[in-house]
Amino acid sequence: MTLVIDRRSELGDGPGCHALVVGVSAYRHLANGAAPAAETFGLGQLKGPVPAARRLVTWLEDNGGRLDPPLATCRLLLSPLPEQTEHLEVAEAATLENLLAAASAWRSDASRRTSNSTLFFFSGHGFQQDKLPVLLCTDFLASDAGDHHRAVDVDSLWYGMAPTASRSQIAGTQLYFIDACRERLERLETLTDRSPTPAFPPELPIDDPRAAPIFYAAVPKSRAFSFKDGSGTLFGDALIYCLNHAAEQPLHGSFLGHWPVTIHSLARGLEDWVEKLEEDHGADQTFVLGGQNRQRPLFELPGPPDVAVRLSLSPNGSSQAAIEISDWMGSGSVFSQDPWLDHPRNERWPAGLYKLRCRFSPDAFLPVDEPRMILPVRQRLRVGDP
Amino acid sequence: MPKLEFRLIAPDDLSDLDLPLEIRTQELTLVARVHASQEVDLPTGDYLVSARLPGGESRLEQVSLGPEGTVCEFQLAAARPERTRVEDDAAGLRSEVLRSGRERPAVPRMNRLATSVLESVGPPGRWLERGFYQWRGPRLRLLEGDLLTGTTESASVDFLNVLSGQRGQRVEVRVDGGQGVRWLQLETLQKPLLTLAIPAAAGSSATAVVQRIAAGRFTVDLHPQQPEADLLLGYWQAGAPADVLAICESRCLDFERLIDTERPDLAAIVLYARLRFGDTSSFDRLAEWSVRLSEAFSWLPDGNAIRGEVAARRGDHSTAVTAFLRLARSGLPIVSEGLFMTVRRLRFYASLGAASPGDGNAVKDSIARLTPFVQAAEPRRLLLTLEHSEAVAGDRGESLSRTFGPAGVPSQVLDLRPWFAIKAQGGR
Repeated sequence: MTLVIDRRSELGDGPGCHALVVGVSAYRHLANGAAPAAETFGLGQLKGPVPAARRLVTWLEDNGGRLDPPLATCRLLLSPLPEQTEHLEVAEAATLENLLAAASAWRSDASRRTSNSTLFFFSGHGFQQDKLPVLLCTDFLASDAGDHHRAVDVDSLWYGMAPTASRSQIAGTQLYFIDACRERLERLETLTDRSPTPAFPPELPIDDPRAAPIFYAAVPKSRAFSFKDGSGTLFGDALIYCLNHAAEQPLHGSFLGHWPVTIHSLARGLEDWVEKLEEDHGADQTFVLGGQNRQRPLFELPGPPDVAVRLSLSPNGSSQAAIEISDWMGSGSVFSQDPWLDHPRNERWPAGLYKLRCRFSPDAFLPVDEPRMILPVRQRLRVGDP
Repeated sequence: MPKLEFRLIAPDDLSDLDLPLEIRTQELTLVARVHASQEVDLPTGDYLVSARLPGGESRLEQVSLGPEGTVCEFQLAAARPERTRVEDDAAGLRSEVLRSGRERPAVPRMNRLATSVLESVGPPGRWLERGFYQWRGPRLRLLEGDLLTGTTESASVDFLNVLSGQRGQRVEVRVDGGQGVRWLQLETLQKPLLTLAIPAAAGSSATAVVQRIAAGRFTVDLHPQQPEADLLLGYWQAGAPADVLAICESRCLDFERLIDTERPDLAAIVLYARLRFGDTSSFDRLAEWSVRLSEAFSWLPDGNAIRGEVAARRGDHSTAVTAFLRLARSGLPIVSEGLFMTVRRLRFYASLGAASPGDGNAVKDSIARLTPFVQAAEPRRLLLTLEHSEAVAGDRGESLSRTFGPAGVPSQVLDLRPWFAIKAQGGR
């Protein structure tokens, strides 16, 4: 069972979004796997990727109708650990064979019209081989793998989804989310001449106007992280958060109206939120954007998203300060304290414009009604003592 | 209708910054997107003018537009919340304003693999005299030429001038451009040798900011002389594509203007940004511009990278492969993106085998020539930054060692050790 969401009949001839989601926690031939290889290159089992993939599928189930175009299909491959019982038998295993088959069907669906869109998400082990980002399937290092080590290189996937003479109508918007490490495994390169498998046979593209960003969880030479409690991955969490919050301010109309989530707002949001989670959890992970990144709206949030605001006073030791922050449109105060003692403090306010009034002596509020913009996904508001 | 004009309240060299601005009514409806150098006709009334800086901070001013028009004074650096901090740090004011929110160290935080590479490098070369051991400070060297072939020459130290600094913390150095691509090297005891492409052409300069980031560890950032180009790089580094495209529309970054003023380096940066984030409707212009850039300024390899990528995206793979192969013969681009996109495309062409649009052997040779530099390139930096320790670990270590200079006593270095020699006089 690979196709876990299929709304093609509902959508009829209209455009749709086709998703392929892969989560690999169990690696049979890596350390602590069912049949570990003699050399596992320091790689073992992972708790986070399968929950991360499931959370994305749940988000797609709940929000797929809001996507532009709406979600048509979602294919899912999962390789959970034995103890991840809630994820067992939900989907087919993320073997190389299954991944290639799912990718082929996914591309076939996507190729029917340029107004289609696609989403690819992979969470699991990865590394850089010959500078190419490589994604490891659950059967990586299988002894019968021949010249290939049961892994797929990202470039072959991305190039394979480009418009060609035989697929000139392929989806014009394609999102790739790669939640995997990108370290170089030098010992692997030394010990074996095995190479990754191309996701698709290479073919020369024609004119390629795709909006096709690749959202990498990690820059080359670095790692991506899972949460120790097995609840997911840092990038997976950031992605769900940004899908719900990383919107742009409306170009026209009220700030209280719809806020679009776009390729550019998602990129900026992931940059910010991965950094925040990195700080919160002490990880060393840096998001980076690749591919072709022309702007494209993806869907709209019904109103201004909440923004994580860090409110601080400079210098931190000021003792006479008082503060009042209220909504610009006059709907009331969101924060007020006199004297302001507990700073810095973290707040969550809807994105928009606010009036800031602060006082540094008992005499008066200064400055009066200073406007401050608060925009997704997080904002630092420093209030300075003049 | 009355005109709304803008004046930036900013440090001297930023007062003409062509900052992208948004103008909204009091009800927050967007009425115009302009740059600070422009004026806009609007009905009388009260407006909010906002700008977003690379660090993610928004600046906002209220303005009343009367029948005679108004000049909106826009506080950039000396806004109230930062006043104390900024005034105390005048030397760092410019980079404070333009920097991205995220500090990206030139020497990446080490993972276990990178650490093992560093350890394998061994003791420093014999040019590191006793005093250097004691002070652990950085030195700068300037090279000009082609890193691909190793035909670089050490340029005169006259082209490096200390502008200002905070003793023990940071030093700002002016780096003059030359007739070809110039490279700045940061040498620090027992740390990877960093080689950075300088965004400057003959007659212009860039600013190198050298900072201490930990005991014995230093970072260097390069800023183009032109503030709009610096702002563009800041937005890009901060992951803000919409802001990158907005600043690309500034009159100061107009392609024709940059070409006329002999700034192909900055023109290349703008074209990379448009190629990465811009709409395909601009590809005809991009194609024309990339041809002009590559032909009029053949000393700048970036023109070929951009020309090849534009052609590849338009399905003209014969032109693309020719341009990429030309880059592999002419030298390394100054922007990392150019190196990465070239190798990525060439690898794809190689994977096509007999269907490859170019000479298969030439494609493979070019990949082999460029790959060690891709491995040495610091992926978090937009301007090409090469880390020597990884380069010597590659297959072409010997030739790269020649490229980056032998371990003899360098004759032309700007010694920054006195700037950072605060506590270390007593020993290591």
